[in-house]
Amino acid sequence: MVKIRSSVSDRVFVAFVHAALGVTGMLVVLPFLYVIAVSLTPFSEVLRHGGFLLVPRQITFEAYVQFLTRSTIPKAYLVTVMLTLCGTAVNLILTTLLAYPLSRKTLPGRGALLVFIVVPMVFAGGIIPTYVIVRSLGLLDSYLSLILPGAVWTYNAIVMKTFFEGMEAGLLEAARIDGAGEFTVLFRIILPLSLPVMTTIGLFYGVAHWNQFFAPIMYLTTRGKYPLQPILREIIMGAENAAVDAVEYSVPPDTLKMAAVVMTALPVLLVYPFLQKHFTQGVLLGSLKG
Amino acid sequence: MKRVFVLFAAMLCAAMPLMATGGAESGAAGKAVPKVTVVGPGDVGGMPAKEADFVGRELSKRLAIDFEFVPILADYMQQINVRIAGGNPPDVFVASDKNHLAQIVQQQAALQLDAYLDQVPTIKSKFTADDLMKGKVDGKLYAIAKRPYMRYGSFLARGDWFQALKLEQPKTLEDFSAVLKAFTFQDPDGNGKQDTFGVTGTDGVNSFPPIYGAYGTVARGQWMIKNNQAVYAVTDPGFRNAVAYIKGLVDAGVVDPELMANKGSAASNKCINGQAGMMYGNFWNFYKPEFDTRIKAVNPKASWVLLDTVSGPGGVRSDIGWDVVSTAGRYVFSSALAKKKATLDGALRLFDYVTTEEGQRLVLYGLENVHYKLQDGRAIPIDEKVKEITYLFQLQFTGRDDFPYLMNKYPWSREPLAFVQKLPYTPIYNGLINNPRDMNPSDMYRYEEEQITKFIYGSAPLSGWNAFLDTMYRTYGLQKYVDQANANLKAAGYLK
Repeated sequence: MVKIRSSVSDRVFVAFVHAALGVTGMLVVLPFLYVIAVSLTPFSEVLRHGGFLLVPRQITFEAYVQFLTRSTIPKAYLVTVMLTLCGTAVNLILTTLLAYPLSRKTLPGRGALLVFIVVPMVFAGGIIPTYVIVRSLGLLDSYLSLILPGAVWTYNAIVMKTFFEGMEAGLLEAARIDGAGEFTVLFRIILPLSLPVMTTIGLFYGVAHWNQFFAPIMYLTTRGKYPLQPILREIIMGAENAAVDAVEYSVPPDTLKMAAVVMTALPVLLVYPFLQKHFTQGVLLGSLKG
Repeated sequence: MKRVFVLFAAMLCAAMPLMATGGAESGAAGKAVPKVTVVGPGDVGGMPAKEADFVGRELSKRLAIDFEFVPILADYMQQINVRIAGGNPPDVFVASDKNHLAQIVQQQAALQLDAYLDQVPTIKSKFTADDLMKGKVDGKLYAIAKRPYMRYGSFLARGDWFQALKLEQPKTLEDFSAVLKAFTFQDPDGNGKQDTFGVTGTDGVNSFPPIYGAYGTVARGQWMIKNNQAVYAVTDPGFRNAVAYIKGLVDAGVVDPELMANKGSAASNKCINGQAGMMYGNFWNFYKPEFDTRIKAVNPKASWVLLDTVSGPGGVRSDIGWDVVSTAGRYVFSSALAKKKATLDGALRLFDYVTTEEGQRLVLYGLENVHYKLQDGRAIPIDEKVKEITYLFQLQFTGRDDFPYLMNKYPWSREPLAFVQKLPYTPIYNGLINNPRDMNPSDMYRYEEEQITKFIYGSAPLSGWNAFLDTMYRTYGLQKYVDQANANLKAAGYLK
């Protein structure tokens, strides 16, 4: 093996790069450590350290128990998980069914269709018109109001369309010569080769559903139907400013707030490592051809 | 390929029951009992689900309605505004403040209630003219204003520090600075380090109401009456002197340097862990049993004292400026109820009932023989059950007689509550004053706060005070606000 001798300036440069990356890494990791440490420490211990610590001295799961035993939490988890699964399924099906025809250059009126879907990407309708549409469709207080209004994101459809366009044309032609129709081509040839883009876009949609906050607070009027994020927000808001000025109301302690953050962010964090391989590939593939 | 299909199929199967939930529940509301939904700011985490809300169920049963209270904490005003604009307002909802109420009335989303007062005889007899006035816009009743909570605030200080340094309670402004200096420089916690501050706070420049009180004035943004005129706090000469005094405290290094950045419970946490010795706040932040346990876990020796007001030049003393027309919430009945008679009647029954003696007992103390026992007509709470009914404050739509209630229900509140009620206060009138039509006070508030912060921290010299007031009048239109205040106060009979 040939060893390349590095000059002093090279080594200084490398050291500098390491230091810069190290600092950036710390900036990302430290807040996480803080959140996790506070969530695992008794509140009195947190206060004793002036509210800031990175390593828990005593470990307690009290805050997690407090969070999980709130009457609204189990249902909220169920709602969020179901919403993420169903919402993502609907998103992927509809996005594929839009992206595939658009990727075929032979589609009549393709240009006009593209303009039709790209314009709303730049000019959205606004909160109140969207609300009025949701109400007129009778979707208020229904979980469909969280899935249907954002069923296809133009950006994702375009990434997927670009990905489909990048597929070997000969492959599709061969299928057609063998007598395959459009649906067979889509489901038998295209989709099995599209795992990277499906996982990437699935992840975009999935995370967005997991983090849904605004749509639930606008469209769901029954309190018991809320998913996790609005409840997380209430816990954090409650700690930020005592909005409810009554003797009976107790501001939730920081430990509960942090436990809530961990419990809502953790499931998504856990999914990333498994999908990372496809994720990187998918994003790159989608972005190379424009 | 197969796997992709299986995945899709599985996701769709999972989707079915979820989607069905939405449709099924909205279809089931076609019963004879009218559904009455009340929406307001509240403790979302603490409010039980509808099925578990035993008092809500009892109200539904007694009043033949299908009642639900929906608390909202985040972005309350925005949610209500979108629902009004989208034509789907809740049956009854809380207006965030007087200006919000005026806006709702202007949008024709509020039902005028004067004609329905006869349907709520208890409210009519129990509410004074002043109580009713809080829900009025241009002389017409558009909201039922919840009777206000009492004053809970005073300076709270570390009693153990007073003892350790052998200090007396401060009586004058000079004593007050001396105490803060001792708390900062004489090592009150005895750890040999200079790691304490005299005072902290959570409300920026408004963190020290009794200091403003000692100068015969009130905190920033408040309206008082002097010489038969509406006076905006910063224009009062006493206010400038109070700012000069607070600047002196900051210069002496006895004020928490993070005063302006403290949010939520940051300041009380600093008092608990011994970084600061004093703050202005609600007494129950330190006296409530669950907080007391927390405090004792951090520092078993910590104890608290409530401070009396201190006297300023000419012996003036006062605690916080207290809004004579304050309310804990204005409940608006949606104008859509005019066409939904059964719901309107149900909502009126609900509001009247929670004001009656029997209804008050239910929404204050829970269920008889479960949460309280009745002895000689008095409700005696069952101690171990009190925790289950903390959420009830959200169902007390017309308020309560706060003093006897707290004294009876929370023994720990007796002493501090009685103390705080005796503190002298300055009446303020913010709840009566509308925003002028062609002026936006929020721009003025921001400028005002920034400037006062600069004066306090010395980045602008106090000699610039008159120029500051001049800008308030000339650039931000303070005069229009003053004229508006005078007109409102005159109309309400507070000015001759």
